[in-house]
Amino acid sequence: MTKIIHGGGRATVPPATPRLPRIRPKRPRGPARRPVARTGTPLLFLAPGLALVVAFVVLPVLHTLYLSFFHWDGVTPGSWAGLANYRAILDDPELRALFTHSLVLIVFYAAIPIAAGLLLTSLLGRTRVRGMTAYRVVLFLPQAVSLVVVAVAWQWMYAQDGVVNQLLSLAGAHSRTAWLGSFTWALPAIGLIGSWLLSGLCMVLFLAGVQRIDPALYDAARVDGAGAWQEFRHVTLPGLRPELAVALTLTVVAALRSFDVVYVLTKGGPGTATSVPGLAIFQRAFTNGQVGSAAALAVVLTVLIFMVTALITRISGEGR
Amino acid sequence: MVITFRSHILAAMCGAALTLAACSPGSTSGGKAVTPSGSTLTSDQVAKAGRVTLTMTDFETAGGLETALDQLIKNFEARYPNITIKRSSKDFDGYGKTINLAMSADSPPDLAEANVPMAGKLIPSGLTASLDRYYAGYGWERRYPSSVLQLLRSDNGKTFGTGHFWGQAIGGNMVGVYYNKRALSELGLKVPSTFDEFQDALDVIRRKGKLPIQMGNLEQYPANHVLSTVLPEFSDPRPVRSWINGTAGTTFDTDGNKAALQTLADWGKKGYLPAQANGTRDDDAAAAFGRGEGVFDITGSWRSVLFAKSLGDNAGFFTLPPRASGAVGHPTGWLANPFVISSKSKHADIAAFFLDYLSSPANSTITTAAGYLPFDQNAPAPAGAVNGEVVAAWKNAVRNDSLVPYLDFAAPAMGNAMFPALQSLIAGKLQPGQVAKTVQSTWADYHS
Amino acid sequence: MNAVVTRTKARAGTHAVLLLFSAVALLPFVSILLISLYPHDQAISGLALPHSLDFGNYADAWTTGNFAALSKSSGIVTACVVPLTSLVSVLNGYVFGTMNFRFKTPLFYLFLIGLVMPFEATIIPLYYDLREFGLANTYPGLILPETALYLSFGTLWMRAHFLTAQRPVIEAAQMEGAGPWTILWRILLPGARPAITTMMALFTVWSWNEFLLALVLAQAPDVQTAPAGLASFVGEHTTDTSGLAAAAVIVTIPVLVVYVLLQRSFIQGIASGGVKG
Repeated sequence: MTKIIHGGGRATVPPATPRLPRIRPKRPRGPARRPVARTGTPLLFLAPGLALVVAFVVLPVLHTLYLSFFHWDGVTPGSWAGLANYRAILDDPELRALFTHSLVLIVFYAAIPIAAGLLLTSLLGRTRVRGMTAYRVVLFLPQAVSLVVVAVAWQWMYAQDGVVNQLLSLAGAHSRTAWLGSFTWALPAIGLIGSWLLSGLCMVLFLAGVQRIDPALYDAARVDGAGAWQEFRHVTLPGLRPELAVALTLTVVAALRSFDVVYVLTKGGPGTATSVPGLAIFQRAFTNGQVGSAAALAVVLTVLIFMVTALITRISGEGR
Repeated sequence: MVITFRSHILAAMCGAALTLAACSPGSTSGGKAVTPSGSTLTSDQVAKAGRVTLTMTDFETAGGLETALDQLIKNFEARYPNITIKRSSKDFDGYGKTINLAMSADSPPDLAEANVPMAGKLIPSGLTASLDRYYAGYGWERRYPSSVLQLLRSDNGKTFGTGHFWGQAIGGNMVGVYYNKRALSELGLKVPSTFDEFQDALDVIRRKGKLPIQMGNLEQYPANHVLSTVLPEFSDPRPVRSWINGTAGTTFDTDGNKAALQTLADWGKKGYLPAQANGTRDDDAAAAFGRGEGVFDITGSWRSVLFAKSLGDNAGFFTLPPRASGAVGHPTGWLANPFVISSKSKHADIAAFFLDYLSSPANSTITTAAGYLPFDQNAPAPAGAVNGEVVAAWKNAVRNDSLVPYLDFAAPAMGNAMFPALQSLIAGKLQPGQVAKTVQSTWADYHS
Repeated sequence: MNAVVTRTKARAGTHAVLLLFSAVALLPFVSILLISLYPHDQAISGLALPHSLDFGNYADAWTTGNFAALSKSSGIVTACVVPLTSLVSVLNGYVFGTMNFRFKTPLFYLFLIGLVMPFEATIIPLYYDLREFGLANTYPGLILPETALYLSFGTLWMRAHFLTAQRPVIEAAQMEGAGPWTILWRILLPGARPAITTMMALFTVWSWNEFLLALVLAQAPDVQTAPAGLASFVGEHTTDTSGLAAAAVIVTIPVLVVYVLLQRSFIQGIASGGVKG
């Protein structure tokens, strides 16, 4: 039995690609041919993006970092705070609880959608399924709709006599719980909304990636007698490695940055059961008049997210 | 053309330094404040003022107040064809987030609706004009009772009660106890005349298997309305008002306030409030009350139109009676949102004249019907029995000067700190002492 | 015989799973659709049919929410953001995915900031900065920051795609004397179609529905975008639920149309050109 080919659809390239070789200028054909510049070309291509990002992201971010060292209400002149805002964050037990909530959300925002996305892709990605277009549109719908709408719709669904309880009754588990008011269930309830929201996104990302996988690999696998599950494990999954990394990054970041859904649905309630750092930042910046503190929290959150993102990139072995 | 990376960095850093230097926090860009002449105008003067356009912004996006404003603007423009009023409104939430950005622009709106937390952002940056001369000239000071007037005075947006007048309002709103007349009488009860009678009634209703107080607290602020309604039963309202004003040395962490918090917690424990209140939308609870679920509903005068429609003559309203029979009750209430005049407005005098027009007794029929509770004792009540009861209760409170403003006016961060704590309180997750401490420390952080 | 039965069972199983997921995906929208047809005073309680069909909600929502003007603004912003961001993302992804050069990693992380940073706190300084340059409440003042922010995902995504580009293809093209520009547009682009159209669909959706940036950076009524119209149905004390639901449907339709049109190019089958098995 021949070995099932691992690797991401590269039928002719060895799987473990070492560092990409430098682009070396080839022997010029004619007298006027110029060699490819060494650092010039990449930077030239990157120039427009860099200009945009520096002007509209990096500078405001630096500005935010600067603000984090002040007590500022957004209106009157601020006063120097030094590291006071940061110290307050590290000392505040309530703030630490916020990050715990974010971790819980990672399960719902990342694990479940990625699994769902993979499942849907394996069903929709390659075989001709009747009504494929319709399925793909419907499954993407949650992503396409404004978050405000999503949140309001789910608020109605989680109400005491909302759809969720109606469905539970159908299944025989009668419930009069208003889920968003439960100290135990509000956070998972919000998490499920994230799962619902992001599954479509993951599906779309994986569908794009699966187009790239060489069908010859699937044929080879089938010839070797691989069933659907083996095909998935040995051809699809490895082939989707780049998209998986992107999806993982996006969803984990979404979990850590989550704000919109919580803001519209529960404002962090009941009590602080669904409070997340993104909400705390928003409230401090826009309502409480604590812009410096909001900035500091944003910086801390950014560092955290950055570390997680770097970790994911490292684990997924991208660009090695 | 080879661009070295180092020059990229250098350029970025220079840019950053320049930007940062230009934007040290608090240096709000925008022109100097234009001191209005502060003169009161007569009708003739306005008619002869030439073509003027006033811009106005508010957060009345739904309901009666929205249509009333449009109506009043139309009437005004008809009366003074040389004046055009351009009105734009934004949802309450979005408005609050962006109002100080809008007002600090180079040409801000002439008139802007602002509640106390919003004023707290606008006043200290000099974005609002002082209305003192207009108060004097148009006699606005006589219009409002002192319990309401206190919060309209401030020099720094932090401490209220002293300083110049910053805003002027058409009417007020208040919180009280709506009740289902039929449900009450079916249970053999009558409108309580003391607080103890009220609590006894709650007990009777509960034992007979009905819901005593309807409430939907998902949005978090309704529980605060219940608390502030109960507070004067245990605490002298005057220190509470001082505390809301930000007066130094006042505190929320008092035995009286904690007793009020305890009462709220007890009501939650005893099942006087719906078990799922924290997960129910305020609108849904109001709809449920309209369907007859719940004997009482402690909410605001803005619901009276809805209840008049859903319960008809069955809806009633009273303010929570005090301990001692015959004494004065202290309902929660304040202005249904004042307007400020921009300090950069070139037409401040005309704007002030317009404000006077909006709130004049001549317009009280329109405004009262829209939901603004009138300061004019002679204003007619809108149709609908419960509306009449609300207006009567309001006029009483104005006459007695017994209103207590909303607790979350005490600090910008107060809502975000107190409301979730109350959710925990009624669910039994927090003790009154903890809530009082949280509230006071939020206050102290802001006012110290 | 067995193979046929298995295949039919597999297909039925596939449909069952897909239908289940679709039902879950659709449920909240069925809810919204129904509610958008409620008469104004009917309260919401679960999935219930409206007492009477009030299609007038749509006309009302259109005017109350001022959606004619808002759609125009949203359309302008999105029509600018999507091509601009897509183009720059492709350039960035190409560079990070196929080339090696000094400072490659730090530059890449620079682009990731927009993805990693919670922007809620940064919007306020951004607004003041934009105002300094007269860009507040203008279309460019919303288009450019959105572009810069979405660029993070675009760069990450296109880089992931280009990382899988075939080395032999590129090297063969280089031996023909093709410069990096030609390689990108002539050689690699056809294979990147699914990735690019996916990205464009996402940008369209995100830009159209962008709420927070638009709230702060485009407050003035003449530049407000569609989500602001949704917010206008939420009052201080009460929400016009059936109006909000109708408005929600109105806001979603354009984006759905674009997605349906774009998603046909997601599916390409075997990539044309290049060295593939």
